[in-house]
Amino acid sequence: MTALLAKLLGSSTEDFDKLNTHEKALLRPVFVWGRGFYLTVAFLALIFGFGVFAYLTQLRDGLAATGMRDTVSWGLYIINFVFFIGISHVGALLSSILRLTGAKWRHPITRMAESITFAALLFGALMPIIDLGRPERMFNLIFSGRIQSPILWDIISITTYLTGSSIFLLLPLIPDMALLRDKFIHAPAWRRWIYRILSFGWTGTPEQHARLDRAMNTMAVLILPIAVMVHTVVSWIFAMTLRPGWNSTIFGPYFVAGALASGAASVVLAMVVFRKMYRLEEFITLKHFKYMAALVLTLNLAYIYFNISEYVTLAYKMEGAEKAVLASLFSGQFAGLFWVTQLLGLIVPAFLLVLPMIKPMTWIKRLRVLPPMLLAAISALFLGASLATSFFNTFIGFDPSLVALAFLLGGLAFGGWATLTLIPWLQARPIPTFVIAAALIVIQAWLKRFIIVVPVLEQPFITDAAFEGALYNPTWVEWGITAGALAGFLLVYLILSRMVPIVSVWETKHGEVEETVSGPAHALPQPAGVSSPEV
Amino acid sequence: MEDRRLNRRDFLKLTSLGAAAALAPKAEAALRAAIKPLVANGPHPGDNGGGAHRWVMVIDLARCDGCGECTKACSAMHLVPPGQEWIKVYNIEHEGLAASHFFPRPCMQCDNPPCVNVCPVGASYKRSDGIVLIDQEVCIGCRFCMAACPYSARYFNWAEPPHTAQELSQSYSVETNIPHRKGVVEKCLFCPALTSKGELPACVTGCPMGAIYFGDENENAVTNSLGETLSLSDFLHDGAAHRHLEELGTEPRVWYLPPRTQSTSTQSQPSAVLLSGLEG
Amino acid sequence: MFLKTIRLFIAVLFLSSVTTFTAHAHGQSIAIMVSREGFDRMSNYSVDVEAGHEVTITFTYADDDLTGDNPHDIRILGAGVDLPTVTVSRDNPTATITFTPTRTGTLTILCVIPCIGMENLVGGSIHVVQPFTSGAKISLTLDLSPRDEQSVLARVKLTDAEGRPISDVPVSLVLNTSVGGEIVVGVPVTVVDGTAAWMIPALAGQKLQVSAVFQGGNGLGYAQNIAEITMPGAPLSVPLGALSSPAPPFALALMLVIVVGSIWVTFGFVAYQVFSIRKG
Repeated sequence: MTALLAKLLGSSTEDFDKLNTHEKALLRPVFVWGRGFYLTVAFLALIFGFGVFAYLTQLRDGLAATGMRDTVSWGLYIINFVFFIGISHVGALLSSILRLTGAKWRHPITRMAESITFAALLFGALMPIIDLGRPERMFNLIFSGRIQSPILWDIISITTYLTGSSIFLLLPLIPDMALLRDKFIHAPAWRRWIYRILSFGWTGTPEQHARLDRAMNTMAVLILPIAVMVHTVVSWIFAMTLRPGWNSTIFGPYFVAGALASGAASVVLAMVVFRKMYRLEEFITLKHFKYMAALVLTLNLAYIYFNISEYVTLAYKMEGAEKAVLASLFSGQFAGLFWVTQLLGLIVPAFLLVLPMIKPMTWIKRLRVLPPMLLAAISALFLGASLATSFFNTFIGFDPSLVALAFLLGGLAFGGWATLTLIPWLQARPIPTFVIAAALIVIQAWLKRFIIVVPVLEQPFITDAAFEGALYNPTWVEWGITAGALAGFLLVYLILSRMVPIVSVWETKHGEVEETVSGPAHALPQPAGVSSPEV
Repeated sequence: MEDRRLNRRDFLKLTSLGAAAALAPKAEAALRAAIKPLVANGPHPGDNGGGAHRWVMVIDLARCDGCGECTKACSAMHLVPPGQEWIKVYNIEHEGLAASHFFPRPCMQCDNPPCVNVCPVGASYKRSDGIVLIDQEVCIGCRFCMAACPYSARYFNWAEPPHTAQELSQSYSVETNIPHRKGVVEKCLFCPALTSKGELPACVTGCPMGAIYFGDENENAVTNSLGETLSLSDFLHDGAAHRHLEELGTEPRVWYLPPRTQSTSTQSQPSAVLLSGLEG
Repeated sequence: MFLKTIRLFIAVLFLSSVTTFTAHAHGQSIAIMVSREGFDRMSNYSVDVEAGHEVTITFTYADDDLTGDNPHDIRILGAGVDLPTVTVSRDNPTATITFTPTRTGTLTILCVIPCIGMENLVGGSIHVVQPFTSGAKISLTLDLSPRDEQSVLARVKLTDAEGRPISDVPVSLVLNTSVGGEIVVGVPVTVVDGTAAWMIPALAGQKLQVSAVFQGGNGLGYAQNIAEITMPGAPLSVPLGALSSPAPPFALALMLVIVVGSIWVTFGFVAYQVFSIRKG
């Protein structure tokens, strides 16, 4: 079976053996497709297929198959939309900003970042279409589109960004495509055709390098304002309405900061996965993780700043219409979700990211405070109790101040336990620490979008005396489509990483990162094909 | 070669900028003409135009007793799908010492309608007579208008609405929103099918208390179900009328008179006395 | 027409019956019992009175058989009357209201507080009919013409059977609104030559229907006439905000074309660079 698939899809060891060491290290996944890959593809395709089935159910039954109703009229689909578009900002960040600042360490990870951008934009743009009540009339957006509507601005900016980041993914791919065209002779016809077309006749001459350079510099400058524009416009879907909690002027920068932070965190996750899966330890080193962690930390702190700015400003005033929304976030229906997301998803990752970057705190071992086990027990008890009561606070009527006190005590105990036990452990293992922090940030990103969308819709301006807040319960259709979109995203990403080298061959040199002169004006003449020029 | 390419780029830039500057006024006219056929101001099915009216509604909250007859009349007139109340009567409670009151909420037909502003395909549009209509043959069901409306006045057909033979036999008109369709938005329309015939909207006629007044702002007169026709400007002035959530800038066309207590009787708590005094 | 004759007949009978009992030549005195079964124990009570003559209605509380009190606040509503609410209850069993209906039409009597039997006390009506008077026949002409872009001039002329002008009498001008209401827009008094004029505000394209009514009296009969006018010109379109209009605002379109256009032009430049790679 594997042999048959290999023949069809082009897995070949014949050409692989002819590569040099550097190329072998990076091109094995492209040349050799094994059972693990096929199984993963099958698994993801299965989930994606389930998502398709869920959507077909929705087409048949109408959007009544979802948990959305007239009060909460937007739900998981819009949340996924904002999440995916947010994640897609990583391409602009790494490829553009790091290129313009001349950060050479970016070379091994730019392509995985740009691929995330590409795949995320595909599924992000798909989400609002899935959300439509009349998807067959989608082209009315072009035929009778009104440019006064933020949705049209979304369409224009996402299309532009998708085109731009596709170009930006393609440009540095050209020399590697040429490499594959030249070296992967026994690939099946369809793959050879792709490599031939996408290499644009590259032979590595100085003039070609100059053109490529010019093109990449142009795109680097251009893609950044486009990326900022995209997520600002996405935030305006909410900020251009009058609803309390959405009617805020900082939504543009707030969303962009969140997008950059979650995107950078997702690259850290991609880095650790590919590093393990494709054995790229010599290309994606601890140094890369540390630099990416610094980037993620900066963006995370910026996002924390925006969060504080938004919520503290509102909470100080507790203005009429916002009161209901803020109450549901701080102490009501969404209190558990809100506080866990903010603390565990924003504050804790900041600490986790800092830990491996500072000197090891050996003085902790010399502390003789309460034994760690006792602290762990206390923290588990209090945190568990406070979380349980806040999640189930409709059934158990606990006084919210007691719950807050329990949470505080539990948090303090947990802090004590963490200091004693976890910190030395984490500091000794920087990469897992960074990965945990990144995972928390990415999960927080999705939950944060939920917190932004749903509580506001649950508290309309005009409510009945008997109104207690509409409830939004997503159905299996919505969860299925969400899982399918995630699986589809991973599938596209995975297949991309097997069609082209996920770490750029020509931009990296075996074992180290290029240290030659950077700058758009330079185009070092190099003999065709073999080793890499700068930048 | 390098120089030639640069020159070409600069040349192109210069010429395009120059051309733009020279042709700006003509370009404006041409652009306007080109855009015209592409925009959604094409004819909407069943739209008979607004005439020279500017419809306005006045609701006297002092008279509304929360009976809900307006909702029933509207639902009967438009065959409104179950779960939707195009005019919905809320029981508004205030914090503190203020009494609760009933609040009928039709679509406010705002003069600065957030729903029209955000509609990406122009399905929601404002007519010259002040009514905001929805062309359900254009609507794509994105529900942005529902997120934008601060009055929660819009409803979505989440599932296929129930049909009767009578409903399906009518040809679709934006003035009735019948037959109802899955996956599109609908709302109160100020009954254009009735007002074009010189009749009052269904909710106005259906109110037994005469709490809802309706009329043409151009005629400065509003009428209710009990035949009272009043001067609009005097009514609003003397009654200290206000519009709901007008601080949001929506410019609603529905005025409300404050819910001062209905009864002028000096008897207090008549219902309590009645309940104790009933002998059946 | 038939109904009018019937009403006239009933009025004559009523009138003749009343004149037997009262001193006034044309006084009208009505007694109505108010109970939980309705006005005069009917849920659709109806009585006819003549326009232009004083009417006195005495309401009497008739729920004595109840142990508790069932007070009623009674209002008379309709075109041309503005009457206070009167209350009858066990402690206050009678209330009288006196008024002179000036226009023909139907007035509604109803109880406006929640009381037992409220559903029977919402449909009482008073039909105001043209008085059968032996007054001399009058001819009333009404002419409407546009005075300027914002008003209409209504000219009325009253002459008697011999064509002599009738001066110094009031003529009511009533606007019949587009939703079936009637509101008095002016009551000019005729001058020496029997004419009276009044200015009615109107907008371009607006259709107005105006009635002129002379009540009669002092030996003169009742007369009325009706006229319509459509103001010339197209109805003024109320300007929609740039965000609400179906056509795109030019400034926004231009800005998008420039910004997005230049981005795509740059994409094209980049694509040109890429395709040039082929050429080496």
